[in-house]
Amino acid sequence: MQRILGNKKAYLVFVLPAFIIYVVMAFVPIMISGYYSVMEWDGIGDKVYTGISNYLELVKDEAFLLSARNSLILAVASIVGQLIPALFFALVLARNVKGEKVYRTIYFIPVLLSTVVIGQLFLKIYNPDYGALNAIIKCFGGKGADWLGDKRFVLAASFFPIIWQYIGYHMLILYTGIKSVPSEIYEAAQIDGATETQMAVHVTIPLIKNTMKVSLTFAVIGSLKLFDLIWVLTKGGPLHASEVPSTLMYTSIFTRMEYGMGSAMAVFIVVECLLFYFVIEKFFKVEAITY
Amino acid sequence: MKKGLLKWLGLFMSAALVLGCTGCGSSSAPADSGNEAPITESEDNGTPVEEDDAQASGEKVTITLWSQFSDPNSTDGNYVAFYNALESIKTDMPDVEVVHEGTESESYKVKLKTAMAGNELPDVFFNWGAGTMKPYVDAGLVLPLDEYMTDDIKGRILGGTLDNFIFDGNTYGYPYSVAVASLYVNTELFEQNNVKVPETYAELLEAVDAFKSAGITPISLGEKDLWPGLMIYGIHAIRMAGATDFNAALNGTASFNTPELVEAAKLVQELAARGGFGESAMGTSEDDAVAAFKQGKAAMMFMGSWLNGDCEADDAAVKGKINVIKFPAVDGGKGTEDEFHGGSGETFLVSSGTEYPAEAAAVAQYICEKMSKDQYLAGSGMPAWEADMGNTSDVNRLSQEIASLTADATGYVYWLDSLTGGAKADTIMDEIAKLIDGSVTPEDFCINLQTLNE
Repeated sequence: MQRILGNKKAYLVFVLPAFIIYVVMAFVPIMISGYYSVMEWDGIGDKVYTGISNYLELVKDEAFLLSARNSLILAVASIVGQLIPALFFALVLARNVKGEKVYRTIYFIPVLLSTVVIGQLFLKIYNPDYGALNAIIKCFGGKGADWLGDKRFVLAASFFPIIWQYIGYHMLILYTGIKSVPSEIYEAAQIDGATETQMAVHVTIPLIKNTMKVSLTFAVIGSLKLFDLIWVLTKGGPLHASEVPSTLMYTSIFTRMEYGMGSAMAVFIVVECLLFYFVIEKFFKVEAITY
Repeated sequence: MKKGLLKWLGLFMSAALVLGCTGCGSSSAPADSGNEAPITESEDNGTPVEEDDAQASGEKVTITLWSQFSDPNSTDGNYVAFYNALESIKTDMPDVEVVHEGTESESYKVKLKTAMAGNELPDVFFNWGAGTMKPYVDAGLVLPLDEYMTDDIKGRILGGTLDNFIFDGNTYGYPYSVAVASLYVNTELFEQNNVKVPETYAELLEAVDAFKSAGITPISLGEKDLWPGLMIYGIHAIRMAGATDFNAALNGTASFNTPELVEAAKLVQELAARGGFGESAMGTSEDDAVAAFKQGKAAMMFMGSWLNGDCEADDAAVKGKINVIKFPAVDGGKGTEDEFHGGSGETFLVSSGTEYPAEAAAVAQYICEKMSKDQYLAGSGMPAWEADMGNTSDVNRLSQEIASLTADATGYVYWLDSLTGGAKADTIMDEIAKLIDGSVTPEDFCINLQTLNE
């Protein structure tokens, strides 16, 4: 074992396959997008080099700025709407409550469902004519609304299923983190007379900071690059009110045939995600915890 | 208990896996048997035939064909006609083996663009004409068909149906249908609510008000998909400005910013504000809009003739109760009732990179001509080729009706999105959505469209 770990060539052999796949599947396409983003190109004819004019247009483009704003709203909403309930459920479940496994499974079910299934489900729920939501509101004497067709509601209506779907996912991550905290620590806290709430706040949460960072990163990055559910629910409409950068990128490239512009958006999404990743790394610097 | 559950789950999973495997197996099985069948047949017939067959099939030219007709079991008239043609080409053109790949419409567009970027186009492929086709022509990706278009063939093509496939004097595609939009009215709802089927625009507005107060969606519109709005705006613009002037504005030789087109935009906006499209048009998809009309929940729909099949389908609550009428003329408009929205614009193109241009062109021609007749008989659009239709008494009632409506047509404006294509089409769709939603004034709307021409 020691011989293998000491051998630099052995590292290379083990790392190489993954490295090659990563480079070919992720790194090269990103670089190519970067190359396209400085071109004006319809995807078929000749490319014309236009420098950074695509980017300059991007920051002036109202629709794009709106989409970027939407994705930031979603990121914040995800942190509040996903991580807080997820943490709560994880804390409760990890305390050996009755039916722990059943609840764990139930909370995780939405994550297992395909996004398109969730999308169709919510399309039906939100339907203004026969949807469940309007039916319930009408039961209580309300008027109901066209949830996905009204600019005022569409953002909230389309973000809700996105946030709802992944609560279980973050719950599972945090739950695993909590479960890896050794039980002696809790026993010690109990002997000192700590209540359940005190244990959660003063023992568990500080000890799972690392896991929380993972969750936070996933929630933020996932929001910034979101595409599927929005596409199924609204395609960015009505009037671009629910547009996020990746849906706008898709229409730019495939509907408007503006490959250069779409690639500039792709590069923006990559840079934005990286930026937020580093910000989270920086602010959440935690020393490794050893038990 | 838990173990039992796990066991069942495991059993279920493995069952799914096995079924999945056999699923794959069965799909490849017909292909296998298809290859084997001719051999066994010729064996039965005796050896000499078998040798000839083998030789003939050895020289067979393989033509790859892509289309948006992805579902062989669809009842859509175009699909039925396409698969008929695909079947009969085997006997009518025995030297050619056509290998077809169908992809659902939206994915098809993406797939085609990807193939073009990668220079991997099939020999023959389905496409839309005019603005959608222009970039492909400009990039030299499609083959001009003039060389193969003999006078005999040309003589059978009905007038005006080639317009959207001609660029710089070269013809790139054969037509296969003329689709026309008309106003579909649910006569039962009109009778029940004592509303007169509109003959003038004023009567249309009266009908809208009457249905609105009766709690029925007056005009079913799936504006969530954006393109249905194009048709509503399109017909208003045709009625106000006339087909000639509107076409000129669309291809950039005249201005969008004319009093007539501003008025057309105003009418659309007023119709929407009046509740003409119900309360939730912006969030309704085209599928939902069609479903609502089919179930008799909406009184009218302005749509292309592909709706005929849906209206007369066995599962439609409105079967036999739908009538088609000309969209009424507008007082003060330059256009008449006899100018129509629609035309011929779908075709099969031949890739310029094909190895067998003559065969590929022949396949494209064969399919278009064959589909022209069959899609009419199946109740989709009007035919684009002269043909002996035989007994037409079984043809979709609405198709026959539309054929007589358009008999005296004086002008056509093709679908705005296909006509303009790409970014221009996208911008027009956006602007129309804003118009219907009320977030742009008719004046600004026309100014915004005019910027596309500058």
